[in-house]
Amino acid sequence: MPKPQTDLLNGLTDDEAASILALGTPVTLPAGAVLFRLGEAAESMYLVRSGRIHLTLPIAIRGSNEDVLIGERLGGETVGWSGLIPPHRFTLKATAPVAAEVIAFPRAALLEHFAAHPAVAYAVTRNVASVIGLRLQVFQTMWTREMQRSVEARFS
Amino acid sequence: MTIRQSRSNPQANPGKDPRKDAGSGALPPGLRVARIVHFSRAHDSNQEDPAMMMFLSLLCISLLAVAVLSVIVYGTSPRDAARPDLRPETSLSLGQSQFFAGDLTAPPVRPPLPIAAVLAQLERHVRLEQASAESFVELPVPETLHAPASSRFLN
Repeated sequence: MPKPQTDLLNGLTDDEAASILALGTPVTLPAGAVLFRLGEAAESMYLVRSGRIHLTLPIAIRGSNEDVLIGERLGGETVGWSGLIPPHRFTLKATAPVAAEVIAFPRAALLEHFAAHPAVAYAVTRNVASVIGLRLQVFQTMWTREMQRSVEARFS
Repeated sequence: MTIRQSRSNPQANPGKDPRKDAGSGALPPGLRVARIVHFSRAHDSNQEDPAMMMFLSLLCISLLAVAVLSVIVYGTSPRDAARPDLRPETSLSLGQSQFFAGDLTAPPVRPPLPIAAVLAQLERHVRLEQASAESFVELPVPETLHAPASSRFLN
């Protein structure tokens, strides 16, 4: 079975990727289903196989909290790295706007596999760090752009 | 002869000047003077009556002529054709009185956007901003950091 194009399995051989994929459990999400909620304990990390996953945060609009889209993940992208990174608590809500399929990787199974295969652990951890770093840079840039607009609005 | 007799019967002494009569000894001295003044004024006004009547007649005729000419000139004037219709609208709506309505400079109240529309604008804004941020991360130069996004949420 060829290795799927994912950001989580970069740098792994097909066998190493297959051993990681064997740890996961396919989950089918109908449209509108919630994958995880803000504040829940993060026991698993997910890989999107098909469909889309919306990441939202609540924003008060006219007195009621509405889930506002913060990010979107497509097939091949990783969702819920809080399952692998302490303090293991989700800081977003993940829903499927359309029917989607994900693979759930329990943290306990991953850590056990990493302990037995340090090279795989290093590659996967580096991939997760790349995902986290890229998202940090993107949100840092978005925040700076918002700050720039605030400065122009207040002090120009 | 008393004053009453003299007035009621003027033929009793034809050709006799009343002024002379006024000076008769039948009247007391105060009444004699009053009678002389009265007859003097009556005699003068009787002499000016024809001239006054003619003057008044001419004045009335002149005023009448001016009035007739004014009616004729106004009726044939072409101003009516060029003058716009200044009649007030019969369907004038006064609306609600706003004399005590408070701040008249307040902007008109817009109906609020449905929440679904607000969320759609936010989603579009986030997508555009995320795309701009990813462009900056790929090519981190100051020009791409603050490149304007065409988000309706900002406008």
